[in-house]
Amino acid sequence: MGRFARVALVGGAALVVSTAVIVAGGQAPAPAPRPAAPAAPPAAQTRPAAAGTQMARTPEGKPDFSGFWQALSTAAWDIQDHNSMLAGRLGVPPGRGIVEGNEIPYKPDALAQKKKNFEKRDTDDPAFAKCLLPGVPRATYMPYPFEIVQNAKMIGLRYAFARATRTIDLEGKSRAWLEGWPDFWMGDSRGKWEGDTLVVDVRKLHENAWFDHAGNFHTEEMHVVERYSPIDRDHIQYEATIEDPNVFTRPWKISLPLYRIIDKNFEIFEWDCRFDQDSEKYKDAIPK
Amino acid sequence: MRKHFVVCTAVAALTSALLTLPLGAQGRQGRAGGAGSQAAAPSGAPKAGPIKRLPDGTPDIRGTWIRVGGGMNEANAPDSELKAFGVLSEPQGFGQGVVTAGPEGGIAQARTPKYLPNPRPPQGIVDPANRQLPYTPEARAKRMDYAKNMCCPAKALSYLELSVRCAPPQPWAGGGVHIFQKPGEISLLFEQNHQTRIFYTDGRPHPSPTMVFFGGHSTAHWEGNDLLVDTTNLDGRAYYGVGNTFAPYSRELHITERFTVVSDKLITFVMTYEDPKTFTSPVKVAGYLYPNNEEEELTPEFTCHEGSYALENIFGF
Repeated sequence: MGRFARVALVGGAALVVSTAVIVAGGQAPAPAPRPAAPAAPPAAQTRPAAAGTQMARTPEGKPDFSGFWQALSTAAWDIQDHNSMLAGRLGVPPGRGIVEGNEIPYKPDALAQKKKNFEKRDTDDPAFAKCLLPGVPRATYMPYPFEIVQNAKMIGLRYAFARATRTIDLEGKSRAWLEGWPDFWMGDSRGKWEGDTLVVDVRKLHENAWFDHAGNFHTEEMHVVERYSPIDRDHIQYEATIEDPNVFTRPWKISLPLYRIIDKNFEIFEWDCRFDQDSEKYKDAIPK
Repeated sequence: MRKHFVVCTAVAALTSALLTLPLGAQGRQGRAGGAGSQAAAPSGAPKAGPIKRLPDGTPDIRGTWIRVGGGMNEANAPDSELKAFGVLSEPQGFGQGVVTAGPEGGIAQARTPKYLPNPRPPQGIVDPANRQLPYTPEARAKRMDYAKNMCCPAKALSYLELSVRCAPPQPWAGGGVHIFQKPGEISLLFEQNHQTRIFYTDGRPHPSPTMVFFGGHSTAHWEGNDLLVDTTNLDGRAYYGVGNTFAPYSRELHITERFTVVSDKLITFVMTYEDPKTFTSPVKVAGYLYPNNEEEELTPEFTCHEGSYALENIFGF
């Protein structure tokens, strides 16, 4: 079964998922993002590209990831295997996680904090509840599209959710100037090519972002190494290795494929759901 | 945790306080330095120079640029009407030198931009020649109403200047911008409030007029070294800048921009604003972009919602 047939089959259920989030967040309807699919494919192995469908290449000979991408998974709600859960009046279907081995190696006190986060997820999830920047790696598997734009010296990412953006420096510039700056919700990203794989080193990530709606969290000591590997023209294998000595006993890894969006005239429109939330909250308010 | 809170709040406060800094002076490097006020900036015909090309022959403008101008800061016009409300006619801070935020929200010394053009091309309102906005009576009344009720505190949510609410900046957002090009699309990733603009060059139409965005929707095409950009689908709730002018546009606002690639080191532009419900004649605003110093980077993140308590402070919950 091709990708498109699969998308068609899951479309109805996925719309429910998207709607559930909107209700939970009290925000205006999203500008029709292609919705998430209910089940993540299992941690995929890179498979050889079919003849004639290889990823295009840039003039420099690197894979050209330009275009629109989206994860088809419920990982934004829980990166581990999960049962169905309520999110607002609707819900999220059960789904496989994206954590290799399904275990997140929390230290005991951190696991207790994760459980507290879970209990308060409807109000405290920075992304789904507050529409704040989703952070890395969560931005990648939010149930909305993102765009990659690419120059030889820099790669840019535009995410539909919270209008998040990132730039990935490919020139190996020093990070020294960032000393003393606050942490960044979307981190500071430095990339390099290892063969056809884009390897991105992400640091200075703000501790307030979560991995998912289930309250999985990290501190500002987190270090993420992302790997974007072409599978074929329309698929990228995404992996991220996560370290945070404050929270985890060892590095761990997530893995999921990204799917190219090929809709005619597809666009990521400006969507500031926090602005919409504020408009709703303060609609008839009198200044104090 | 505490450090982050303080810094984010400081950045948000700075954002609000320095809105007349259309260049997003929150970066560490000195793009504001010496940009010059409109009145003082010398201008002249910019020198043409070599232009890189993409394989299709169009100018290659990829890279990191600093944008100057494009705002609608009037000359002395608003003083007589708006001064009573504490409204200022000229942008305060922008182009005045070393107003740049550093670590911990402090003020850092700006550096000299290597590629700042000399002489500097025109910026600000270039038409009408008197640099006063030709409001319709209805729009002028709206503007005065806004000025009376926007501060302090604002009388209602609708009178809150939109950047206080962390709205995405309008199309003329300034500051550092990363430009990417691929067939069919030119992408601009701005530093300021992670705003983006996409110029679609693949011939697609604008979406339905019922869809509106603070940044509008832009299509474009090249004419030689000129990039012509057509922007519609604008939200209508717009601001020109705190302490300056306040009339929202109507949703009929139509912006056309002509970017002229003068050389690899300079792009000039003229934006034309047409909105018959707001202006009695089109308004033209000029500006330019010059390359960021190669050895420097834009700040990786300039957030707003994440550190803003403005609405809670205003409304008390």
